[in-house]
Amino acid sequence: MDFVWLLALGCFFVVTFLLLNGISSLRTDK
Amino acid sequence: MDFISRLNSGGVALHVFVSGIAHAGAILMTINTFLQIGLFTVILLACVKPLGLFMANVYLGRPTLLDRLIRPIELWFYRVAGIDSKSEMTWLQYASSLLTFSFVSIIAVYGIQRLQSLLPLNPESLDAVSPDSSFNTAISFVTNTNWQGYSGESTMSYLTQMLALTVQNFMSAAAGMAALVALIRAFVRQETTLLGNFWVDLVRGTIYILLPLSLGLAIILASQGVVQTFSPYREVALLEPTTTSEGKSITTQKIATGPAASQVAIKQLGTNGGGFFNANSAHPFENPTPFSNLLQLLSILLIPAALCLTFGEMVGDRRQGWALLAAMSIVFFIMLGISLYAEHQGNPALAKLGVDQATSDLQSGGNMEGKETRFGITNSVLWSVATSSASNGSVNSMHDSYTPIGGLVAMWLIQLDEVIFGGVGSGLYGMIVFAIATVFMAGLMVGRTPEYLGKKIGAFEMKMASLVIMLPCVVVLLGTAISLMLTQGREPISNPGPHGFSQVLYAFSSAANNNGSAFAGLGANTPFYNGILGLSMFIGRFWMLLPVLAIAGSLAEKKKIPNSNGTLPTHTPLFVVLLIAVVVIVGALSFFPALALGPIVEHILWTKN
Repeated sequence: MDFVWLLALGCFFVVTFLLLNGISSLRTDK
Repeated sequence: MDFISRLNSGGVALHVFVSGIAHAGAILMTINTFLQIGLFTVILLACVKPLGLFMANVYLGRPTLLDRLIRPIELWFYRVAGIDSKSEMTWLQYASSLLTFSFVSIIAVYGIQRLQSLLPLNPESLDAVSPDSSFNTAISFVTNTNWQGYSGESTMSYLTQMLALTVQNFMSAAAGMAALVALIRAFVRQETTLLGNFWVDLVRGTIYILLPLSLGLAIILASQGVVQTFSPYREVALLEPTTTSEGKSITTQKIATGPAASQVAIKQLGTNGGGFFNANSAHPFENPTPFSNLLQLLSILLIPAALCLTFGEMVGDRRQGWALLAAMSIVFFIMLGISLYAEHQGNPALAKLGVDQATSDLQSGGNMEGKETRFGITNSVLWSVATSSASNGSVNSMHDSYTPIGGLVAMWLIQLDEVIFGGVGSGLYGMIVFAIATVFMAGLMVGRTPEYLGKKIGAFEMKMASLVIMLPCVVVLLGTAISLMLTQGREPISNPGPHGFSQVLYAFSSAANNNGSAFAGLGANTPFYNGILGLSMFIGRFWMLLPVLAIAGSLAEKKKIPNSNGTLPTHTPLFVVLLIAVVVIVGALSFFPALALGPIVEHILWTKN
């Protein structure tokens, strides 16, 4: 079960870093 | 009054006399209420300026009183950790460092909980925490939410409480303050991409501000009777032995103790709120005396209020800080008044049964269900309003038992994006984002240039501000809707009808806004709620932080423009009113339909029946 919850945590952070990247490129595009 | 009336039924003279007693009692109660709130307000305001200026000095790198003692420790820490304290970061580097630090913290808290049965300082031999609860608690404490699906004394070893939870109480608060300071620097600096060093801000916030304050408070709390020990739980003889339903005699009771004082101090100062014991600050070992209650109440609002002045000092115009503090305080006291009035009215269902709920010399009166008699209405409601406005989440009474309007006040204060004082750091950066939205809207209405503290507010800042303002609303409403559609979401609700709806709405409001308090009736320690509330807390913290830091990055690059006739002054009463209007209207428009299904309809049902 640990694997499932740790995987979920990992996914949250990956998506968050992608969001960070997205916001960053939005700034560059302005 | 009813008790004496029953003894003397029919006596007209005595009836007048008894009414007089009740009236005098009510007046006494009112004076008592005003005195207590007045004392609390005066002490709090007296602390705002010195602490606010001290914190500004810490973050500006100016000399402080603590330098001789702490500076060598700070420098040693940088050396050991390999931190170059002179180098600064762009907003992207700052955000990445914060996220990386949080990721490592969450994994560490998760790991300690799962391994606690193998680790020392576990005198009760408690088992490992379940995976879903560990997941929820790890996110909860790292995001400064401190939502607790578990019961501290029956779940967490002393080591877990100290090494996992208390450490994160410090770290999450310091991380929130660091993000705020980065945003403030963006207003001070111009034409730069650099916002400071996250690691330096994290370390200085922890060792100059949070640790000394917590150490002092913990010692005072211990002197009041808050427990601080590594001894195992005590087995004591019951004064009145009892029997179970199976006829088994019970003669002893186990009393939980532990290193609580050190955790309670930072739990309040860092607007964390997670209790050492399940009953939180209603527990006599966590909040034993009226003095400990006053100190903890003050600690809840102390740093969030003082940070307003830190902001004013750092941007070079203290009036800006006072204006934000005024806006927060006005909303706070209005909501406090409404909640006090509602709770003093009592429960109409009990009134119908003839229960005496009048305020008198013999009882505090009003709705005392779920409240400690030693705290009464005033100290319970003051705590409830402070903890829900300040994103603290600790409780000394049970919000589930408040009147519908009292519960609504707590819930709505949380739903206002936690900007009325809010979390340590996070409350003020949320309020600054609202201030940016306010100058933009005011600019649209009267044709003034949208600028705040000399920085022009452009399309990018407004897009990011909209994300910050709307994201928690979306998470709260979607999370509540999804939970109510699923069996796993409905089963743990302990009350039918609108009150049950309120329990779920409150849980998501608390999680997505990183408050952490609960309508205690929802049995949320299930894999479903641990998962979905964990996700809500995560989004509420980190997805809010990114746009805030992006705004900081964008503003720091802009030139400061001097004030002109077209500039809207942002330290005036007019701006304070505009700011309050924007915060309240956003909160009201976003949540009125949901609140109508919960506490509002419950209130109507109460008054009709």
